[in-house]
Amino acid sequence: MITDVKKNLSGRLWLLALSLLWGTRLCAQELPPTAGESSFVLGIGRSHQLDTYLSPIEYKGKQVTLMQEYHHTLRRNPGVSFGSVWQANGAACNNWHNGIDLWAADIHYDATWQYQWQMKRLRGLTLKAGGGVGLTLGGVYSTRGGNNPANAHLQLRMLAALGADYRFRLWKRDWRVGYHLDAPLCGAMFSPHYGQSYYEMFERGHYDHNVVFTHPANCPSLRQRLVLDIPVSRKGRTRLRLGYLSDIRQAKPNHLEQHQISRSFTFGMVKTLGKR
Amino acid sequence: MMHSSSLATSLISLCCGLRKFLMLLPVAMSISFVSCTEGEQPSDDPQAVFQSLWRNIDEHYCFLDYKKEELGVDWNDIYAKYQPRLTPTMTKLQLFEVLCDMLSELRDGHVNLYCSADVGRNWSWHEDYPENLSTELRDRYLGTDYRIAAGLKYRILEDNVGYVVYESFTHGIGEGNIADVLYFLRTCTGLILDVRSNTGGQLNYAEMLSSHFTNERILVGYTAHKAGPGHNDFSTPEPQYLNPSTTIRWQKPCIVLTNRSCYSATNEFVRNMKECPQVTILGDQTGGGSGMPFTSVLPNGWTLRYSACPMYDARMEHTEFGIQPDIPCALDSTDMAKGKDTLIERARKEITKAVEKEGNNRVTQATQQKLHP
Repeated sequence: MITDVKKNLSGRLWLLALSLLWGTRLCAQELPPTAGESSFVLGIGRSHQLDTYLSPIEYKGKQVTLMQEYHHTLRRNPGVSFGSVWQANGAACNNWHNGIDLWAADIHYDATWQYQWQMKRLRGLTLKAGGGVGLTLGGVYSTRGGNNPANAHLQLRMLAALGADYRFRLWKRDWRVGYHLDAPLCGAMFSPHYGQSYYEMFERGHYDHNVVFTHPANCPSLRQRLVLDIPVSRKGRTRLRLGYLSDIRQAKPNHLEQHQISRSFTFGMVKTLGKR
Repeated sequence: MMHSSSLATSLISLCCGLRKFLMLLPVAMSISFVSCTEGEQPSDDPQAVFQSLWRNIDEHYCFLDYKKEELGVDWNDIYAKYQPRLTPTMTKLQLFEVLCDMLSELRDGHVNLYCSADVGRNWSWHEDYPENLSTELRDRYLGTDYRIAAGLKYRILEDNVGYVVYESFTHGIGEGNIADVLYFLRTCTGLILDVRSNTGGQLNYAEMLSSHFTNERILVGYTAHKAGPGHNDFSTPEPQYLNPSTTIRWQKPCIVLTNRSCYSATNEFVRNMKECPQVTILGDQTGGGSGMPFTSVLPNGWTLRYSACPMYDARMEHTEFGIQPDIPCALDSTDMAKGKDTLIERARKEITKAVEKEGNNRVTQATQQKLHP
């Protein structure tokens, strides 16, 4: 039994590797062109915030996430899909039960291009792999700060993205389970130096390593999404989306440490755009 | 029957498919992820609070080496001295007292510990010295018909000397306010700028006000910041230049009155003014406070403030313990009994002297021009 599983798995890995080598033209023949899809979800969860520029304490609190996602298969190259994800986070953290100690807000935008393979041996399963670019804008504000009350987040990144979608029929309707992962590979981020004040930077114009090159060793981050799309309309063009979002963003620039770790349950709607 | 069998088939295919799909998930959502950043967790444990405070100062405070030289304060020795005073059963206030005693060793007015019941501080920079200011006397000089331009109170004294009081750099001022004040005082022979007991505020205001006393861009000091957790990890000091204001600039003698309560942004103001031509510092040494303070939070929620970015004068000397006046002067009790402020009276004399000197120079220059046209 275990040998069968191993054989199946190794067979699939071979298939995946061959598909990667073969390129998208082969996949294009296998994949029917699909219409675009847009989703909008609201997430509610827990957030852990750390920024040693403000304080060495890790703050914990509630987070609200809004996520708008759009993707479509490229008309000229149906083996490739383009996706864009807007994610807005707002967190209010309170460690000592005497009001809000820390506010955090970020907007992330990621655009990805992914090859997609439909698995012949497992109907309904589509694997995706590719990369893209992303941008983060935001900041964190401590209600206790004096000359260091806040820290801005600005990051540009190149990222790797992987995904798997499994479509299945249940109660005569099309359902879908999806798992998507993306992680930054390299990029650049803004950061004050270890004890540098914003006064020095913006009033005096003294810059000191304020643009930091990022890579997985100093900025190990990972965003994972697991979603279940439940059809609500007969034609299946509108679906209810339930999901789980794990978003881990860490950075260690200029001897400072930052992280924004959140885990949220998400719910929203998915709409198929154009003709199927 | 048909319906239930199709449902069962669907469920079986779903389960098989999902099982296979989940096999492809790379241990995914259970990944706790390798964490490279770990913060301190909230705690009321005296040891955790003590360690956090000690480490905060050890890694972020910018004057540890300087204080070791000047005061003989070794931060490692401080740990050894105060850590044994901790007990697991001590109350919050007892812990607060130990931590405040420890921080007091730094003798820094920018180092404070805040809890809901108290503020830990060391104000020896002004408490150990005479105040050299009587607000009652100062109010007599201002009278009741003085003008107020934002944070500046001003009037013209009987001998045609302008008198301006700036009580706190937290009181906002703008270029327009300063220009209006100087324009009103334009006919005066000189200006007395009284910043005694001004304990600081916004550096921007200090810089803005001092920019009205120079016609050229001048070097007034240097600034740096910690570049790492080591006691000696500093950035290359960056020069600080004072750019002349584009509005009205004061061209006559100006005397700045100081005392030991001139602290922080006021200390920087005095540092800038000392480099300006026509400006004389009169009174007592300033209180100092040349480190820009940052704040941090301890595991039990108390707030810590500490000096983070050192600022130096134009000769790269520390001004943490104050700036010496050009003319030392103290408030005299005999003068006080007569209703006179010794510092203001001395400043008026110095202005008269400077005006006479200026007049004599002009006469000499005119005579020389006549003799050697």
